Amino acid sequence: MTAPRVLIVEDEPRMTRFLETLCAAHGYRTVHAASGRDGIARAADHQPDVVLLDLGLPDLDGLEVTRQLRGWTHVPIIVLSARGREADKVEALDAGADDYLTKPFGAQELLARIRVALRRQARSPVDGEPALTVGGLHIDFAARRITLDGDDVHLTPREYAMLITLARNVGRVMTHRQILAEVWGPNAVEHTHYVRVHAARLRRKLEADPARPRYLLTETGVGYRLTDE
Amino acid sequence: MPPTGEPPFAGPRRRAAAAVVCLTLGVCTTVVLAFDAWIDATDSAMIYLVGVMVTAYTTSGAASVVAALLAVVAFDFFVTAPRFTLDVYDTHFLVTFAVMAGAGLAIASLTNRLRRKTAQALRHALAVETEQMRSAMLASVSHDLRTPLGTIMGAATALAEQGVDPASPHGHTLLATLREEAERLDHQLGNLLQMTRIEGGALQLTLEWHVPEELVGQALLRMRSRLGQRALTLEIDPAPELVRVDALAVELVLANLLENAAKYSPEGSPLEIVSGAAEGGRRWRVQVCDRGRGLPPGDPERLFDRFARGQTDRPGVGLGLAICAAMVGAHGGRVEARDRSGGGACFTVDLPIPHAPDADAPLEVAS
Repeated sequence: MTAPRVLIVEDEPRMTRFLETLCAAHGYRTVHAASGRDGIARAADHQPDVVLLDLGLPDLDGLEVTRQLRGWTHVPIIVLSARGREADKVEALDAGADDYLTKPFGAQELLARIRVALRRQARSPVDGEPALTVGGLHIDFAARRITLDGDDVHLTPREYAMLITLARNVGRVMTHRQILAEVWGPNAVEHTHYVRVHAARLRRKLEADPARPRYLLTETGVGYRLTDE
Repeated sequence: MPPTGEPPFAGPRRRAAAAVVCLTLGVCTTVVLAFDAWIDATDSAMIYLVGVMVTAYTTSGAASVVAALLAVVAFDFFVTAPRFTLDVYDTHFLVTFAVMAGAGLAIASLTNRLRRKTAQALRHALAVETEQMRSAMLASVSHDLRTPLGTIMGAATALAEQGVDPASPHGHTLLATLREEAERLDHQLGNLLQMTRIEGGALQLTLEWHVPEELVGQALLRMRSRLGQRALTLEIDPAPELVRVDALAVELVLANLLENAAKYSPEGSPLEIVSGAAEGGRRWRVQVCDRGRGLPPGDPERLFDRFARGQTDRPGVGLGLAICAAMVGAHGGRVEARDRSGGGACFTVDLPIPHAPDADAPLEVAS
């Protein structure tokens, strides 16, 4: 099996060096593009397994690159952006990016995102896993049964639907809009507080310390993530 | 209506000046008439000049000139014979009139000049103060950014040039230091950026309904490595269920209060966060308390001034609490610092909650 190929679309040379070094050290092959147009061209030429896309490129904005890539490829896209630009990230995620990282980020975070993206890429979208286990949390999709450290957890239909939505995308961030569309339907996408209240209720049932969650993580201004580790 | 081009306050201000002129000259005339039997014309002229002086002191420009001229007319009308007419029998009073008018005008012009000079001096003092504040900020910022940078440089060169094995215990310590100091630098730059946004008037809040527990949790997550192994008590009341805030702003406020509590209390001493509803659910109150030395002497309000520092021997841009005050203020709330019984300090953030929505209301109505 050949090593997965990571396309790095980033104009800042030192950031590029860090990303290339880190990827290479973990056995990934890398391709670099310093602009959005170049990135799109290289994505077509090299068929990468995952794209790391900086949102602050000199020519095209990262959102436009995401849209253009999504016109013809399902390759996982992880967008990189600065703190305080939450709206940009949400836009990129809603436009089809798979995940994001806020600069500055740690190596561990980046590798975790790449790992999740590659795993999703390897699996065909229709063929879901029958069950998911994260730590003490076990979700049996077929039997619609949730257990925590061996004990049954009773959820309301909404809570269940929200947990399943996150579990089907385990390890990956889901925006408020995406969760609302899945759980409450397409008319609800503006009511982000529904998601927050139900996340809080889920935490009361799943987390030992709901303010410091182990499973259901908040991405401020963006959405939620069910951790995969 | 005043003619167009008048500044908006010209009308009311002019009326106020006219009132002052009338009142002062009225008082002078009353005094002159009341003491008519005991004073002569020269004394009366002096009394009117005092009136002119009062007018010049309390009003500006034209009003004092008008007062000086009106004083002469009043003197002529009420004092010189024949009384209660503008006629004059004794021509030497014409000289008195001239002297009175001259003295009155001189007083008016001198007072006006003095006023202008004072205003100029005040403006200058303000400019100097702003400049001093800017220098204080630059000094504070560069000191506080350089401190972690110095540590980063030291640790990085030790690893890169001095042959410290990254896998050795010393190497681990240096790597951990690199990471902690980089996080500190990031936090301080975040504060600095926020302050420039506030100063530049570009602070725009994204108000949405949030769960308090989650906001507190996110602030704790941000400060995770800074808080280390400290004992932390969380008391989060289920009410209020939702608060309407800018999540990033509130997280920054709470993170800064935690940073502050950690900075001014001994390593390993416990911290406490209490969140709950106040005033019958119309306000959200969240407190961050420590068991440190308590507040420095003086007005606790001063802690929220830019670059005021509790104790000057601790690092950190003196921006954290100023940002808290600005952010909380932008939400229409208050932040207060108080000493705590049993030792330590408590910082309380108190935010208004508009009428909260119902998260269980059925949504599928508009299909």
